[in-house]
Amino acid sequence: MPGENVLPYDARALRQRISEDRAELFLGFTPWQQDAQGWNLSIREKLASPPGKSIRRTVWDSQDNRNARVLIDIIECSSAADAIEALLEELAANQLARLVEAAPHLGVASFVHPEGVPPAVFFVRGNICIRVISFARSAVAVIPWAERLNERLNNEPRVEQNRLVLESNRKSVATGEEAPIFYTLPWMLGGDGFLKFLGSGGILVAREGRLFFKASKRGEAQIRGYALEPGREPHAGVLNLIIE
Amino acid sequence: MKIEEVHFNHDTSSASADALSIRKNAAGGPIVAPEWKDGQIPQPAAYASAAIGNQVSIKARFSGGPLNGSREIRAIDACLPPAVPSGCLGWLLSLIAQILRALFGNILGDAQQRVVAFNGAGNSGLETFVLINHKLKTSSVGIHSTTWKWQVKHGRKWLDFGSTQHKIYLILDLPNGPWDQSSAANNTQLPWTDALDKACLWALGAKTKDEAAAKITLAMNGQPNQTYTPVTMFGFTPPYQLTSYMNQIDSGLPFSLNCTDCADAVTTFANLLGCDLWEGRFFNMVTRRFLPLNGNPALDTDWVSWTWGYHEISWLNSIGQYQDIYDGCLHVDMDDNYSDTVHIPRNPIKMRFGMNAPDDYRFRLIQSGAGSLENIPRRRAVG
Repeated sequence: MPGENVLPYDARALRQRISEDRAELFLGFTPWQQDAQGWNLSIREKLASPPGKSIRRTVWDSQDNRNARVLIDIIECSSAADAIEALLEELAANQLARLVEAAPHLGVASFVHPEGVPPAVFFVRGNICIRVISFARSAVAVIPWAERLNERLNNEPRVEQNRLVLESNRKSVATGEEAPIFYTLPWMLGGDGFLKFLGSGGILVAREGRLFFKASKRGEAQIRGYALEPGREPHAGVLNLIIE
Repeated sequence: MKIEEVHFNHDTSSASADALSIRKNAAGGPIVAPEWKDGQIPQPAAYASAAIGNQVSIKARFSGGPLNGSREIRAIDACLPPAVPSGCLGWLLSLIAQILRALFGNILGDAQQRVVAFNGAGNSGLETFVLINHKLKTSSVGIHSTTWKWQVKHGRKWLDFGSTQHKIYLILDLPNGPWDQSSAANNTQLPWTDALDKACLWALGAKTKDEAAAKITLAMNGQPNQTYTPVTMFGFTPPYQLTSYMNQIDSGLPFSLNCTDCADAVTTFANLLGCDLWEGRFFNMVTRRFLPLNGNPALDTDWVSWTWGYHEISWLNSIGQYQDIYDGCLHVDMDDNYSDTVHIPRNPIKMRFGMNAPDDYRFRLIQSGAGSLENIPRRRAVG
């Protein structure tokens, strides 16, 4: 009888946690030095990835202990639904028979290694699945790292300047339809810069370098965008659409 | 007269009479002939021993020849063995030199003399030279160096007119998946020289595929900066992040990986040399105590047991209950008393998966649980 990997996780319930009329989407998010104070960045890699995904890897080394390292992978997907699938892939690619569901404040879904096992945490925020892993012989508590990243993703900064321009070629969009969203900044973001989009009335999808809003509920939709980068004032932009 | 170019992979559709199609890594482009061009950094070439036919050739181009004339040209090994010095020490030094030459020296032999015609500007066409005295079918896995002296015949004398140096990888057979020889544009699955540098060093001197797979498994398992974690670090869903894995090894810094990563490494490096391994999983088990990566076999506390949803290993030829396997992730304990502190570590190298026989891998790894096989053979594309 051939074997089958039956995972002890309720995939359907995890998928149902994705909101259909509120969305957050991140492009280019990466850990900053401020997320890892006292640690040295030793590796920054863009890993080869299948279409629709990009994986940015950073490895942080303790300044005091050669055997203490933390690996952070940011798996950027097209949508929140795809990020849940990426999380399920992570769980399937873990040798442990079962991971423990983590504290609910870490994104829409999060899992950790049980006690006594090299620490690791996996969680989903918007369209990104993040894994933070104790990467060498000394066990490093990874939850605080995940919390710092999550807090920065949560952050909706006060913005003085709206220089992030959000536009669409549609004034209105029907339920179930997609409207392209064009965003422009007057400068190029640096290696640590990222864009954060929040949407209401539908979901946000990034596809082939373009951003789309998929309407789900009649009424008004709003898309807010933020350009965030260390050492630079945040900039924002807003776009309103009618959902028919 | 001057040597302008030397071509090793002059027929990209075959590797029976010339070199393989290779590339530097995923990011770098394919290495295309001429691998040696005057004034440029020479590029390496690779040969697959079992694929080599009756005749191997290179191609070369020359300039500065006689206008509308012809000359006999050849290339010979510039590093001829010195005379054996007298005495025991001399004999010993000569033996060491012979071993070093066998492992790292010229395996291309010489380029057989032939008449080369030159045009009115003194340039030749791209001329084919048959390799004679080569050891491409008899040598073992390795990274070899050839220095050729190019000579032209004047009367009855051969006069040197140039010298070329070449880095040559020798592998056992055509690489198996994920590697291929397809000439498709920007094929990232052509054998990488970055990976050949590792695989040929790890399996240095291997003459058979079994020997190569064993050496690769041992070397992979023995990398000193690795520790075990249950998380797949280098890609369960393809691609296998080979670039990232090699960066970690080369960094010398400690890092963690799991069984899937080990199976990927063993399979990918062994198959690069022509072995025929597959990655494959089995499910649901509580293990006996085993020695994880870089554990100390003499320390009882280093022998550990895990409860696993799956374990992934490398399988020889195919996945099956009685197939042979390679596991670079751990040592099993061959001591029959599992409750004492005596352990006999064994690298699972060409060990039968089996069931409950004392020499079966399954018996030595699994204490309880189904350990049922997933019949999905994998060779993850590299990235």
